[in-house]
Amino acid sequence: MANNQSSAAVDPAPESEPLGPLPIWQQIRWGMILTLLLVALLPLVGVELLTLVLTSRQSYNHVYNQLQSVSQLKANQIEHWLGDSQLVLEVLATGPFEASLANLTQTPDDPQLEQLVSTALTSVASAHDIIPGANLNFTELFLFTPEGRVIASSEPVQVGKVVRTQPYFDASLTDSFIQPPYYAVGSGELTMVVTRPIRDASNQVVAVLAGRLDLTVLANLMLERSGLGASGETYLVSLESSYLLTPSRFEGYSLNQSYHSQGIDAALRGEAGSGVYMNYQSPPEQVLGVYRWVPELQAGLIAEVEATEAFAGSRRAANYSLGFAAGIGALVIVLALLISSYLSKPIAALTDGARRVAEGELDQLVTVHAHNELGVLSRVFNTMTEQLRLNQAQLEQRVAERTAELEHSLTERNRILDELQDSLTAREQLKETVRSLSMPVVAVHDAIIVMPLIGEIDAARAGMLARSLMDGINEHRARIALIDVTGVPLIDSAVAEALLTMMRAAQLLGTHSVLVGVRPEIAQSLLMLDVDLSSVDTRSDLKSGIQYALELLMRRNQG
Amino acid sequence: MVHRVWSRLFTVGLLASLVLAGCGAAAPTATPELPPASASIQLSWFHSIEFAGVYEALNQGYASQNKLDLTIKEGGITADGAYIDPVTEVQSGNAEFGIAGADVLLRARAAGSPLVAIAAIYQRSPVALVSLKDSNVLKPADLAGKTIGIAPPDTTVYISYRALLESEQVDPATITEVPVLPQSSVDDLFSGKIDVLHAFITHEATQARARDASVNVLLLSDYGIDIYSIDIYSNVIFTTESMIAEHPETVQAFINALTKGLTWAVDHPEDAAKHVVETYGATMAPPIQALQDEGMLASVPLIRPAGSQPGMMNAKIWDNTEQVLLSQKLIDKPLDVAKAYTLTFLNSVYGQ
Repeated sequence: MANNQSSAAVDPAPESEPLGPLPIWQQIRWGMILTLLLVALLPLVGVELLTLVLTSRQSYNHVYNQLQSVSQLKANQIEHWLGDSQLVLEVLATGPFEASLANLTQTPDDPQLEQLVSTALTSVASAHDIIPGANLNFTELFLFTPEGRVIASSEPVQVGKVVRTQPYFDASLTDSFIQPPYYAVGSGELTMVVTRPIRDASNQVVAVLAGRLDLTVLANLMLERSGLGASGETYLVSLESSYLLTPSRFEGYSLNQSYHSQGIDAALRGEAGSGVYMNYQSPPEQVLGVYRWVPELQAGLIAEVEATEAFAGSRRAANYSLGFAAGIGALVIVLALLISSYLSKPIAALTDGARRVAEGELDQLVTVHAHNELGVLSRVFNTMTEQLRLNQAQLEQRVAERTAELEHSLTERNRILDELQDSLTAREQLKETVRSLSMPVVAVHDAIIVMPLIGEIDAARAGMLARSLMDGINEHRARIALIDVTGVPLIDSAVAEALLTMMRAAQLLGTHSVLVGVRPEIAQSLLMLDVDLSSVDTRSDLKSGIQYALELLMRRNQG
Repeated sequence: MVHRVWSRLFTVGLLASLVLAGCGAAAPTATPELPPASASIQLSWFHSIEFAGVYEALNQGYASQNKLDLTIKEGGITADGAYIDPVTEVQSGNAEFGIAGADVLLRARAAGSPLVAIAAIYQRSPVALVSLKDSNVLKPADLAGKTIGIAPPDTTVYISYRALLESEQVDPATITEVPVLPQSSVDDLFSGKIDVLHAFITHEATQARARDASVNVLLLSDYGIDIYSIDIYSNVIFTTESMIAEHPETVQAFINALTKGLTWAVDHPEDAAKHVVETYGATMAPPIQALQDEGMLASVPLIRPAGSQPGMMNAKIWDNTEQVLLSQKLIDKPLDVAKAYTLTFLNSVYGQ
């Protein structure tokens, strides 16, 4: 009954399968584990992802803001540095040296004047405090004519050189100018020059005051890494060559080399922005970078922090959170396993029990130590099994009893049958005896036998009579047989036929039969029968029959 | 066999026509492809970083990108002591392109050779005077009384030096000029045989600096007020007028590849120097080999001076060169200098 139900519920198709163990995906245990895991882990993963995205976004923003402010600070410092250097030229051109400069421009070949101005330029160039608080140094301050010849310089060797092919020359003749850094022919050194024209009363440019900037100041400014963390750096890249204008903080990256990265290229296109990209190093390092264009230097200002460091905080948070999530995940898995086994073990035990019950093992009890419905179910199951077992036991007992009864009655019947058979045999024997007794063949003379018939003669007896007569004839070599029917109450046509047949048979053996003892009532009944008795010798009684026989014998012997 | 060849040809033809049809469909306005051209360039000296841009035009595949099968012919001095003259080589048709000083080119034109400069490798003169610190040669006037190891008189270096003396009014009579051999000139300086050496800042000056960092290097282009500056192009690339007239596309292809090669070389000076050593180092003396890197770095501002593009030329410098030649009586009458060079191909590269 239970079998049929479960097979109908689980698998209606073939009837051979349902009793066997189920494939794993159909087992409640695994279904339950999967469901529990999905229910518990999906939200966990979702929350975890959200946390990761948010923390990395937050950390990106944090680092981005930091880089942004560093980049802004550096840009401001560059601006101040250039502004201060231009201010120095302004002070020189309009301050106490103004007169000397004006005189020198009028007599450029005056050695004394040149000496005076050069000394003045030297003292200014080496002065650190010409503008209080300014981090400023010139490697050279010089004065050149509109034709391009240097007429005074803080570096005496420079006097007499021409600067006409220098990149700043043309621009320097019209207005104050900042020449972005370039590599000077000859020295091969990175050079940066600020210029300021000096005009006479008629506003004609009579000379240009120029300062060669100390680029180590710029380099130091960019190498200063406050607020940049351990891997952060700021550097400048020149538009013209994509060379580094300030050194990389990493070893092995010379200035004189074209460098590219998403940040560098964007900055050199004049863009400002930020991004996570691979930096200029080889092999490239992933960085979070903020870039901007610095027009005065014709350069890109890049501030970068390695992504590993930039996101270290968020990564740490992510690690904690991942660890926490992993812990919870493990806990969930363990719980799922426990719960599913807590729930599915009794079911499996019940299933197993039911299967064995179905297979006929009714003495198996299911042991489930649960206080819930499953416990009840297992107890009910056990009760049911017990009941089933009891019922079956009763049934078996009843069957046994019934079988015993049946066996008993069968032996009884057999006994009766035997008895009946015995009595039947006895009767037959009796009958035979009687029959033989009622059909005696008696020899009364050498060749004469008498067969007295007593009782009713039926067809069977008639056959036997014939046989007895034949036997008697043979045995006694009888010539004449006397058949005495004195004892026969009734002779019907069948008996008469039988008697006639018997007598004809005797005739064939050469024995003449004589019917004797025919009582009147028998004779009467014979006459009423349609039987030809004309050929039959008859005599009224045995005595006359014997007499007749003897006569016949004598006649034959005589004859 | 024949059958198989034909069927293969048929297949190839079919594929080709399909591909062509595809190309036609994709780019209906595509201009007909130029057939690949081959050309050779005769260098003006032995292999060195001076020609790094030419090598990189080949190394980086720029020549083949421009469908140019470029052959580079080393220059210098043959075993029997003869200078391999690029002017002669190009005139005779042994090479399509040659390298020479702007002065050489102008003088050849004055002599009737129809040569035209199409680009300059060094846009600033690399010519310098190198002296030991003790000689105290800090400015041209200090040359008086010194012994100078000179380059052969007809060279750009020598002409530049004479222009310096003239411009800075240094009397040549006060100077002792001693001919030196290129391979031993630096040794002569350090052995005291000479006080001052004619040098390229990219070559001999680098070698001298490597031996003693305190040497004084007087750059000639820092002087020359009346003649702008002593900036005679020391290595312009030239071809013939007929080449420009008959095969402008080949010239353009060459200039396209050359400018890219020059740009690559200055973008990657260390790698360019490394390539030179790797390819041609076997013929260089070890100390020179070791200095290719510094030489290349020194040539970066020459190849790409601030505000200019690799290969570019400047009319003023050409005019100056003519002035120098006239004043040194190396040509006897003014030339139509504008015909001696063309910016057409460079401007086509730089979109001007």
